[in-house]
Amino acid sequence: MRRTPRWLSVIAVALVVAAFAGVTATAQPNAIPAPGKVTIAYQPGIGYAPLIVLKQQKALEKQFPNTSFNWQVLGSGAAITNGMISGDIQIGAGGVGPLIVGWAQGVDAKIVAPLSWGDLWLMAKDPAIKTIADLKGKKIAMPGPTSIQAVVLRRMAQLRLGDAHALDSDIVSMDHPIAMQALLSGQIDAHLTAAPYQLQEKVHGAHIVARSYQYFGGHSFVDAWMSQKLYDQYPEFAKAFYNDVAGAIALINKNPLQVSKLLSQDSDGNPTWRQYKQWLAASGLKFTTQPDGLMRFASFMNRIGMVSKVPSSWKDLVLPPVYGTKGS
Amino acid sequence: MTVATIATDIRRRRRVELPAVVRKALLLVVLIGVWQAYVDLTHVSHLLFASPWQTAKAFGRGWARGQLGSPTAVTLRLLGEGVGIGAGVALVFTVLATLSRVGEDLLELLTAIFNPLPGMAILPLAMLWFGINESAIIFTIALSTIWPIAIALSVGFRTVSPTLTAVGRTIGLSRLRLVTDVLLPAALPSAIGGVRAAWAFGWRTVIAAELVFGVAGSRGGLGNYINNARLYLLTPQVFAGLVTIALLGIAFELVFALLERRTIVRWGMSRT
Repeated sequence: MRRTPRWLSVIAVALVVAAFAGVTATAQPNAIPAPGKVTIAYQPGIGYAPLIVLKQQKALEKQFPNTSFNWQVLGSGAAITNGMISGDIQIGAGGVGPLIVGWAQGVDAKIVAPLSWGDLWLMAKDPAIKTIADLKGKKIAMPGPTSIQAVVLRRMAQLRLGDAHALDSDIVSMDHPIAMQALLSGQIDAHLTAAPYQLQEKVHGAHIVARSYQYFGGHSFVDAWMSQKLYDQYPEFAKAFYNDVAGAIALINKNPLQVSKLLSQDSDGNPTWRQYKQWLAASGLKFTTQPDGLMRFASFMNRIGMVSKVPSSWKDLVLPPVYGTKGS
Repeated sequence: MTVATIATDIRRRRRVELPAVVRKALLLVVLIGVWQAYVDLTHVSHLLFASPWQTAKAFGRGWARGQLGSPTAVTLRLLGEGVGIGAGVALVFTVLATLSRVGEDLLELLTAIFNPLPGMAILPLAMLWFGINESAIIFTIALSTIWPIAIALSVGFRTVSPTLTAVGRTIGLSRLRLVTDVLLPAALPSAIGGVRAAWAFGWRTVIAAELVFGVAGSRGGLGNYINNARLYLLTPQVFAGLVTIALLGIAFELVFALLERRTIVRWGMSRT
């Protein structure tokens, strides 16, 4: 029997593959190069609505059919930063606290698409807790000691108690849904949180002790991050992602009813779309791709020793698609 | 036997003659060398891995500034309270088991149920019962230390030489005095073994509980210190915390070895 030389068969296979690749390439002339697998991680809360809209509309999946997208919900921005360091997460989303801590420590994560601004409320249930000073020695829940909530708490402590770290030993790390249960059942005394948890807590008898906008002015709440490395490899993919987020934000602002239905669909109908519609209207959230207050947060975190350096400009914290917005 | 095998035989014997401490110290130096070489050669990200030198610096700074001292004190206090309560309850259970049939059955049943249960599995429930505070951690430690101590103690009681108990009975000791004056001293080797095992269980539990717990700041223990360092991405501090835990573990072992040498070895109940 005559054997075909192995190199000949290799060439044959290579030719077939090349021909096939050529066919698919011509079939999709405008295909943007994208990573094969993208894990997108965000946290519980309505501030992440633009991402949930993309997830529910399968916008990315339709645009990049050759990429497998995987959506994850994690309890804190620090957990997401850790996931990005280990390479499990390609696009993460969280508050500016973990982002700036990561940036100062040399983590490769920058804002690829800002998601929302948000007024963060410090909630308490005990009517005796009226001011920041009443919180000494109490248990105050938030996602972690590097979360944006922790930065806000330190600003409150600095202005009201004279020491930014006065309440540090009272911080209890909990993700928002669990902390809400704990606050309402009396296991903790206060919860520095975000929408919709602050709204739900208010409905269930908790009151607002302080609000982040009183201390920082209007500011960015959460953003989607990507590594510079991934951006350099797939700049057009990053740009497309930014445009998709901007589209989702436009939809939230133009048609909150439709978005409420998408959000409710994402949580399997509970809470209802009516509930989400009410939250979107009342939440103190503003959906925009303009990042604001990055430098205010960074320089405050530097002043109180949370980070050892400050970016020279807000643009150090964002990727090129965000340059055009009037950030700060 | 060839010359070569005799030579290796001699070499092996000569190596054995080095004192254990020196052998282990040399091995440790080699391990640290490999660790440093790994960091230097692979250029692994400083966020993922700290070199021995960075770890040593973080360790020194942490102790100098008291950032490691107070968490260590907190962890040791929690552990001491938890193991103390666990040992007390275990003693009561075991004495009851020795005194009565029902007690014995009860102890066997409870041990069968709770001993396979990792202490950490109880923590969520403990947090509901006691709230988010130290009591929940102490309860979890106690629950994970009662059973190893109880098992060791009852094995100790059961293996006491029948001659000893017979002598005790003959001279007319009551059942309780039989426990306190004959059984307990005779079961001391097992008791020390049990406490040693419980200490190890409790040690694992307290660190794990603190990692979950997340009470930050001055009230936190070593687990909390490590977790905070992770959140701030200070990897050398994470390593320094781990080194502290390892050193404390070694210190416990030495303390127990000393305790055994002072008591049961000296009294001829056991050899080293």
